[in-house]
Amino acid sequence: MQAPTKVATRTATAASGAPVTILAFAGDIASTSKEPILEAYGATDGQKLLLDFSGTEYVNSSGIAIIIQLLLDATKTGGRTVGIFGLTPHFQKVFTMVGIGKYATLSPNEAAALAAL
Amino acid sequence: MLRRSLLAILLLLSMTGLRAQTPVSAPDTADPAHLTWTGMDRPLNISSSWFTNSTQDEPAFAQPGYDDSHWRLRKRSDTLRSYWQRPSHVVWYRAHIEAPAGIKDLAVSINGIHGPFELYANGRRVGGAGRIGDPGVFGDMVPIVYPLPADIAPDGHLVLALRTGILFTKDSQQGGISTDSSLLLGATAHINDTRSLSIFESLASNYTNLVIACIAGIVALGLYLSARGREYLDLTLSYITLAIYNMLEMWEFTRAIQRSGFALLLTTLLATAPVIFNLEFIRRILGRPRWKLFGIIQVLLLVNGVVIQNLFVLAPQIFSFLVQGLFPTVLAIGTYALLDFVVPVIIYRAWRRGNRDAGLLLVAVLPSSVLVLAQITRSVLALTKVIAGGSNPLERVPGITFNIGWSEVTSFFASIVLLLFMVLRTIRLAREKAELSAEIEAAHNVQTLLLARATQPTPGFAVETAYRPASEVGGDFFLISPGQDGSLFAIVGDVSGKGMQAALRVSLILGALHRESSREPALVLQNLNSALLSQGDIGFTTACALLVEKDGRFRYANAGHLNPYLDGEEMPSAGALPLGISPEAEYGTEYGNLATGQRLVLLSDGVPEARSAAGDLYGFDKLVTLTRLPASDIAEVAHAFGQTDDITVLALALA
Repeated sequence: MQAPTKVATRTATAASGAPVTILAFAGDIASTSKEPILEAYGATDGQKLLLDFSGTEYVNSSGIAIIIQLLLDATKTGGRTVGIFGLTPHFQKVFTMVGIGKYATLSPNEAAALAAL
Repeated sequence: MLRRSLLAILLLLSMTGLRAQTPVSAPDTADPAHLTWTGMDRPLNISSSWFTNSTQDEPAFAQPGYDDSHWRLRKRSDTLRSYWQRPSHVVWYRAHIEAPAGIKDLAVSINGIHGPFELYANGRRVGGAGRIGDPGVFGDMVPIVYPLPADIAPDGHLVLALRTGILFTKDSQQGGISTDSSLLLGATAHINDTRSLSIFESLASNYTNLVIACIAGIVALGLYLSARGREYLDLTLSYITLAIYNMLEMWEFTRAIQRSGFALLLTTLLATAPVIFNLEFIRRILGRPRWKLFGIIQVLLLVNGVVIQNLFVLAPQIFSFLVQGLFPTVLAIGTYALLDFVVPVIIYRAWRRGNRDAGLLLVAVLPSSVLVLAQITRSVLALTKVIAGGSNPLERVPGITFNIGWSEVTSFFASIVLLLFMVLRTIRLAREKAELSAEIEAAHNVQTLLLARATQPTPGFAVETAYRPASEVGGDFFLISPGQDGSLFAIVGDVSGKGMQAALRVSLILGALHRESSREPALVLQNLNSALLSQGDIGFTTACALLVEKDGRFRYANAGHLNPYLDGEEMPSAGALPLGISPEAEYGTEYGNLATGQRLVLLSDGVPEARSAAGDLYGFDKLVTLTRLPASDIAEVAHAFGQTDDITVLALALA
C-alpha cells in the first residue's frame, strides 16, 4: 500500500556559506504527491535548494515526472541550483537514467550535498 | 428518516366511513362527583371526574365504601404536576358511576397512563399493568380492555379505583392520569370495537413502514450482494433496524408493557440506529471522512436518543445531576440543527461540485430537514415567549381525522426517493461500467493489433519477445522493424500512468512509429518527442531505440529508459530526459557490437521494479544474470517476484 507523501521544509548552510532550503520527503512519491510537493516547493525561496529523499522508499513513474517538473522549473525558469541526496541505490540509478543528473547533483547524504552546492 | 407513511394516510382516509359507524364516547355528566350512565349503546368517557390522593397509599382506597369526599377533584385539563405532590411514588384515583341496575357485560378501556397501575372495581382488582415501584416507562399504546365481572354492580353503583405509580426526577415526572389519558366504560363489545379502531389507527402506519422498510431493505441488500458497495450495506442495516423497531413498536402498542433495563436500551437503540445508518450511507455517497462532522453527529444522536433517555429511567439520580435545566433541550436542538441544516448544506455543495448522487439525496432529505428546522424554530420562539405555545400546526396534517404527523409524510417521501435513488444509481453505474468495459475492450483490440504489427519476420536475426501487461491494456510498447538492407530496428518503451490514458498514448506512439521514415535511433526519439509534445501535457514516455546492422554492429539512443544488456552486461548511456517533457531534450547515440552467439536484451522497468509482498524491489543488480535467460523466462521471473507494472522483454541475436 502506498504511504502518503509528507514534505517538511528546513534550512541549512552550504559549504560556500549560502543559505540552503531543504525539502525533505517522507513516504512514497506517486501521482498523489503532486500537490504536497509542488505546494512546498512553491513556498521556498533562495537560490539553493536540496531535495532530501532519505524518508522515501519508492518513486513511481508519475513521481519521477513530478520531480522532473520541479527541477525544470527551478533550474530553467528560476535559475536555482538544486541538489538531491538520500536516494536508495536503485533510485539513484533511475534518477540518473532519466537525465535528472543534468539538472541536479546527486549526493549520497546531506553533508556531501551541502558541500557540492 | 422513515417513521410513518403517506400510504397510511391514504389508507386511513379511506376508513373515515368506518369511524362514523363505531361507538363514540358520551359527554361527561354535569355532576363531576357522580357520573350517571343511562345508555348501554354508547361508552361513557371517564377520562376526567376522578378524585385524587397523592399523599397516602392505603388498600382501603380501593373499597367502594371509602369516603373520598375530602379528596381533590381532578379536572380534564389538569396535568399530573398540578395535583401530584412530591415525593410520592403513588397517586390514587376514584370515580363514582351510577349505571342502570343489573347491568352486565361491562369493560373498562385504559389508554395513555405512562406508568404502572392497578385497576379496582367495587373493591375487586380487575386489571393493571407493570409493577408499582419498579423503574421503567410506558410508551404510547392502544387501549387495553379490562372486562369487569358479571356481578360487579348489581345495584348499578360502581366505584372504580386506580392506583398508579409515578416515576420522577428533579425536572420531570411520568405516570398517573394526564391530559392525553383516555378511559372509557362501556359494553364489552363496544369497548372492543373502539379498541380495534384505535389499533388500526395506531398501527396502520407501522404496517406501511414495515412493508416499505422490507421492500427497500431487500433492494438495498440485493445491491450490496451484487455490487459490494458498503453504502448499500449501511442502507440495508438502516431498513432492517427500522423494520425491527416497527415490529417491536406494534407489539408494544397492543400490550401494557413496562419498559425497563435492557428492553428500554434496545428500544432506544433501535429507534436511533436507522438515522445513524442513513447518515453513514450519506457520508459514503459524499466521500466524507468518518471521524469528523458526520461522526460527531452520530455520537450526538446516540447521546440524545439513547444515553439521556436510559439515564432518565435507569439512573434518575445521575440524570438529575447531569441533566440540568435547558441542557437536554439545547443538546437536542444542536444535534438536529447539525443533522437537518449542516448535512443538507454539505449535500447541496457536493451536488454543485458535480456529484450527481447528491442531487437525489438532497431531494430525499430536504422536506424532512425543512420540517425539523421549522419545528426547532417554533420551539425556540415558544421557549423565549416570542410566540404563544399551544397547538402546533407543524405536527399534524390538517383536515384528517386520524393522527398523522407531517414528519411521517416527509419520512415516507424520503424512503420513496431513496428507493428511486438506489434504482437510478445502480442503472447509471452499470451503464458506466459497461461503457468502460467497451472502451477497454476496444483499446485492448487496437493495442493487440498494433503490437501484432510490431512483430514481423526478421531475416538474419533471432528475436524473442515477451509482453505481459499489468492490466487489460498496457502502458508498455515495442516495435521490431527489419530493413531492406538486412538491418533490424527495435524500440521498447513505457508511458507513464496506467489504464485508458496510457493505452491511448501507446496507440498514438505506435502509430507515429509506423509512420516514421527514419531508422536512426536518436532521430526517431527526437521525432517522437516532438510528436508527443504536440499533443500537450500528456505525461512522459521512456524509450530505448536500437538499430542493428546485419553484421552485428549496432547503435542505440535512450530517452530515460533502461539501457540494453549485452550478454548480461549493461550497455552505457548518458541519462536523458524522457520523451514528451521538453522540446530541448537531446538524445545521444551510443555504439556497440553484437557478435554471433551473443544476445542483446531490451526490457521495460516492469522487470527491475517488480515488488515483492514485503515491498522489496527486484532491482538492477540481478539483471546481470536474469538477462541471460530467454525473454519469456525473464518476464516470468519478474511476474512471479511481484508484478506491479507492465513487463516487456525483447531479445535479439544474429541468426
